[in-house]
Formats: sequence, C-alpha cells, structure tokens
Amino acid sequence: MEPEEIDKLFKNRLSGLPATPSADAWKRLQQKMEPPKKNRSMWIYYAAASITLLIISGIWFFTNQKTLDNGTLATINTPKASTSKSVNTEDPVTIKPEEVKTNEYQIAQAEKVQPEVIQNPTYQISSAVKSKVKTKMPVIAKAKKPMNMEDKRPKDTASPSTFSPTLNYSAPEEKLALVNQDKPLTTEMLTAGIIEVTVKRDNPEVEERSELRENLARKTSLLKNIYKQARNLKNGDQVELASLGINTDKINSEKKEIKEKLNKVISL
Amino acid sequence: MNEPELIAGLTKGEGKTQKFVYEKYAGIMLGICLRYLKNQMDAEEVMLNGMVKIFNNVNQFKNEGSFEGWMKRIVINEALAHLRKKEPLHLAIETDHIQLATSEATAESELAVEDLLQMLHELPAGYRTVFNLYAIEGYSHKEIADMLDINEGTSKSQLSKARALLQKRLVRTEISNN
Repeated sequence: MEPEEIDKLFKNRLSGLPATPSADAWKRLQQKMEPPKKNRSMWIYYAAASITLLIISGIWFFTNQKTLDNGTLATINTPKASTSKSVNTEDPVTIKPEEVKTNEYQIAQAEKVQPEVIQNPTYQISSAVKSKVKTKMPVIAKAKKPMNMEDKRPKDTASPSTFSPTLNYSAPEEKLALVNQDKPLTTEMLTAGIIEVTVKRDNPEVEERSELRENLARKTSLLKNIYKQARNLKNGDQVELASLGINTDKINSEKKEIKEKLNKVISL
Repeated sequence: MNEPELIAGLTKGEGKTQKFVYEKYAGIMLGICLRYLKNQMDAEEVMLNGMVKIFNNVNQFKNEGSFEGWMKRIVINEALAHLRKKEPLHLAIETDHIQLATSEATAESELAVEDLLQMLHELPAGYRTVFNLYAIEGYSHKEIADMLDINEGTSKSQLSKARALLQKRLVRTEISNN
C-alpha cells in the first residue's frame, strides 16, 4: 500500500467523521459563554463603584474646600465689617469733637457771637456728615480711595452751612470765621482721612495673612494625614478615616445635603 | 442561512444564530477533535471551547477563505493546545524499526471508521497530529511546522513514521479479519 493511499483512506473515511456531541453539550457551551459576560458585568460594576467613590470623594473634597473658603471669607468679612463699623463709630466720634472744637475755636475767635446759633449748624453738619458717612460707608469698606472723595463732599456741604450762619449773624468777622472754618475743616479732614486709612490698611491684612497661614497649616496637616492613611492602607495597617475628618455623621449630613441639592435641581 | 448571514448574526451575538451554527457544525468539529484526542470527553470539551472562541471572536474573521475553514482552524488549534497540555507531543520520539508490510491492503471497505480512528489513537500524539494535519486536513509541511513550532524536516519525518505505523496496523487488522 502506497503512503498516499493510506492518506487517502484515512481522509475519505475520517474527514467527515460523523460524531454527535452529548445532549448536554449545548448547555455546557452556554455556560462557557456566560463567564466572559459575567466578567464584563463585574468589570462594569467595579468601574461604576470606583467612579462613584471618586465622585463622592470629589464632592467631599470640594465641599470641604468650600467650607474652608467660607470660613476664610467669613473671617475676612467680619474684620472688614468690624473695621467699617469702627470707622462708622469712630468717624462721627472723631469728627464730632473736632467739629465741636473747631466751632468752639470759631466761637472763641469770633468773640462768642451767638454761640447757640453756631452750635446748631455744627450739630446739623455732624448729623449730616454722620448720615452721609453712614450711607456711604459700605462703599468705603469696599474701596479705599473713594474715602477722600466722600470726605471732600461733606467738607463742601459743611462749609456753606457754616458760612450761612456766620454771614447772617457775624457780618464783621466773616473773614476770620472763614479762615477759621477753612483751616479746622481741612485739618479735620486730614486727621479723619488719616485715621480711616490707617485703620483699614493695618488690621484686615494682618488678619487675612494669619488666616491664610491657618488655612495652609490645616490643609498641609490634612494632606499629611491623608498620606499617612494611604501608607497605612498600602502596608495593610488599619486606616483611621476619623482622623481625616471622615465620620459617619459627616457623611450622612453630606448625603442629606447632596440629596437636598439634587431635589432642588430636580424641582428646578 | 448563508455564510454572511451567519457571520452577521454571530457578530451581533444572536443566541439564535449561535444555536444554528452549533447544530450545523458541532458534529463536524467534534469529529475533528476525535481524530486528535483519544478521550471522547476531552474531544467534546475542546470542541465546546473552540465554539466559544468562534462565537467570541467572529469579528476577527477576515473573509479570507471559507468561514467553515476558519472555524475548523480554530477548533484544530484548540485541540493542539489541549494536546500540548495533556498529551505532550513527543515530536522527537524515536520509534522502533518500522518494517513496511508488503501485503496489499485491499479490504478497505471492510474497515470500519471506528477501526481507523482506533488506529489513529494508537499512534503517538506527535505522529497522530502531523498525520491528521497533513493527510486529513490537507495542510502543507510548512504550515504544520508553523503550527507546531517545529521545522519542516521534523514534520516530514513524523508523517512518514505515522504512515508506516498505520500501514503496519492496517495489515495486522486485515490478517486478523481474514
């Protein structure tokens, strides 16, 4: 028998070898088909879980940052408010006595001509200044330069109001009164302006810096803590989430917040 | 269902098409596996694994040659992988001196398919594999050398040794039949 014949014999008989797989073979095939699907779905679950974890940690981080920022803003705001308040309170206080003093000087130099009448306008002026300063204080608190502008305005308004009584009641001593009034007014303004500027510039900046430092220290300590916990996790040691500021209460409260936010969004 | 339809259905992962393909080709693929592997259960397992691979990798079929040929190739590769794991091929096996039988084996028709398969199974795994690939599947020695990671010379020698052994067995069965 030639080798080719052997090949032929086997090929003819065995190439289309009839074979019937066992009855449960299809079921087994389906079972074999399932694992990759399962793997895929499991992979999706893992991916979803990790993504949600990322989102949650991201939200937590940002909310934390926000609260920190709010804290700084609040603390920055409060000194500003306090300074503005102090300015508010100080301004009239400083202006008042000075004005009174100037008026007294005026009176003294004007040889006590109807002091009552002169005093009244000064009160009016001080009240006018007060009201004006008060109303314009928020602007002053925000911007520093407008201060001088506002100070000039009361000066302008103040001078005519004081002019009128002196003109009316002490005609011969107009010049003196004018000179006297002008001088104290300018000094007033200068002193008032200086006080305002110094109060503003010193306090908030120092406070801001100290708070920035505090923030930095807080953040660095938090980062160090996170790094430490991550190292623990890597080494298989216990991870203390509480030390990172992660508590069940906090998480729950944040959950509620998020839910509320979501509800708001949905309702919108 | 024609071939393109089958491929389209399989790429979509249609259970219906998979069932259809299985019913049409499972027998053929199992037959192939039975030629390579002695154990019926192993053969079926390999066939099923091959089908899973076919279903999962239809997108890799590049319309080069027939789809059936591609499927067969996958199943054969699966069988070879199984052989490497379970039945080391022993391709460098040295056989006893083979004496070619001189008698004419004329009673081909009398030989049952089961007998021939039995003869194949009695061959060492390496001979069997090369004989299957060359004589029945129709691969060239170069292709076989690539598939089994051997050189062409080894493939040729394995084939001739397989043939010799089979001829010996054929003669023996003939004698016993007679």
